[in-house]
Amino acid sequence: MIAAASLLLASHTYVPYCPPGAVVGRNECATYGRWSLPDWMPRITWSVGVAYRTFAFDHPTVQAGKGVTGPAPTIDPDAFVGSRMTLVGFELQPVRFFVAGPFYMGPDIIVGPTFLTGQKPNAPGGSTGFGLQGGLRSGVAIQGNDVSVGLEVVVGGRVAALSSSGYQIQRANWLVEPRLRLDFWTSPYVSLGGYAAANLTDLPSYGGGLDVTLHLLPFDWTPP
Amino acid sequence: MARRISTAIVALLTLGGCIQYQPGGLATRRRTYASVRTVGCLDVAVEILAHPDVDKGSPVVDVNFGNVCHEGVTVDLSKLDVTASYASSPAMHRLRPYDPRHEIDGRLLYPVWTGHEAIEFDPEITADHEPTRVCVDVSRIVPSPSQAPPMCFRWNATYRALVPEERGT
Repeated sequence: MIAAASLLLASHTYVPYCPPGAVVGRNECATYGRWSLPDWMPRITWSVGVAYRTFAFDHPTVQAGKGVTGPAPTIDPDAFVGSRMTLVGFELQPVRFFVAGPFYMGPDIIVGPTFLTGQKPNAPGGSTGFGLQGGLRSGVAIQGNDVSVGLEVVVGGRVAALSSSGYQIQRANWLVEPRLRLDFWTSPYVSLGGYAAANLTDLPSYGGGLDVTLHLLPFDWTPP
Repeated sequence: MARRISTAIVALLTLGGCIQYQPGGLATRRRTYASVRTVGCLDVAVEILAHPDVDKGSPVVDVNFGNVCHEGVTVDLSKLDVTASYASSPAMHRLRPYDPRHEIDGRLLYPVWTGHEAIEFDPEITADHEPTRVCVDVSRIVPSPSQAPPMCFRWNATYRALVPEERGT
């Protein structure tokens, strides 16, 4: 039994030498069609870029930071009315799958510093903070010869925060963000893209982004 | 940091451009005795070779191909049409591919990808010497309405090789 197992193992680990120009059928190694991939190959992309968002920061909430025991800052209800928060950060689409034909989905994350403008002089917390938004991106891509037009939506959440004496002055809201995007193919495996977006749960809240995308398969082509 | 990121992006864009087949690429880097045709999305370069494992009377058709389209294409080398004539039998004879494992069929070639095969073709007559002339028609290896004229090769005693007739040698 051990000998049989060894033989079986050996037969699976033996890789025959295949000289250049080996003729189909004449060499053990010369199997036909090594240039082909199966039609079920997954279409996956990875993106990284920069993003910009601007949105209202009125009526934030106050949360104590870890280990903070001091008194919470008092916030005048009108202190942030009319203020705008701007998020400028990195955007990461760690993986995107084409699930059927031109339809795709995958996670989308934006993280970076925020800048507050338009707050009243008595507003606590300074003017710089931290923002994070994330969600599930799904959409459809229509391929042209050198460009791809996409209509997509990101559903998730967003939080922006300022810090004041160990407390977080933050505003969180749901995200339903339709996007119109355009990608230019710089090669069959790389595209440069840009998009415009608006958050329907928090109007007027809008922004955009620029990214570079690496594609596993050329032009994200799908067998018919 | 920003410089490193920009360098990485430039490298990515450059690398992406390198690993693809460019239309006409086979014509510019073809080997000495190859003939090139374009049929549908496919550039095809064919060379007739001798091989130590193969009888002299059976030419080895060496095929390089590249997909010039943004869409995939099914390449079926079982539809290569190969004919040959011999000094002992001057009429053109249709040859059969040597395919003991029955593996030569239609396969998917992704956009801008390339492929290569070397396939032996056997005559149904007895042939002890190299063919004097071999013609290869690649028109039917992809489902395309476009036609390409056959590539014909003639034995050249000086080079001791089958050389494309279009070169006038």
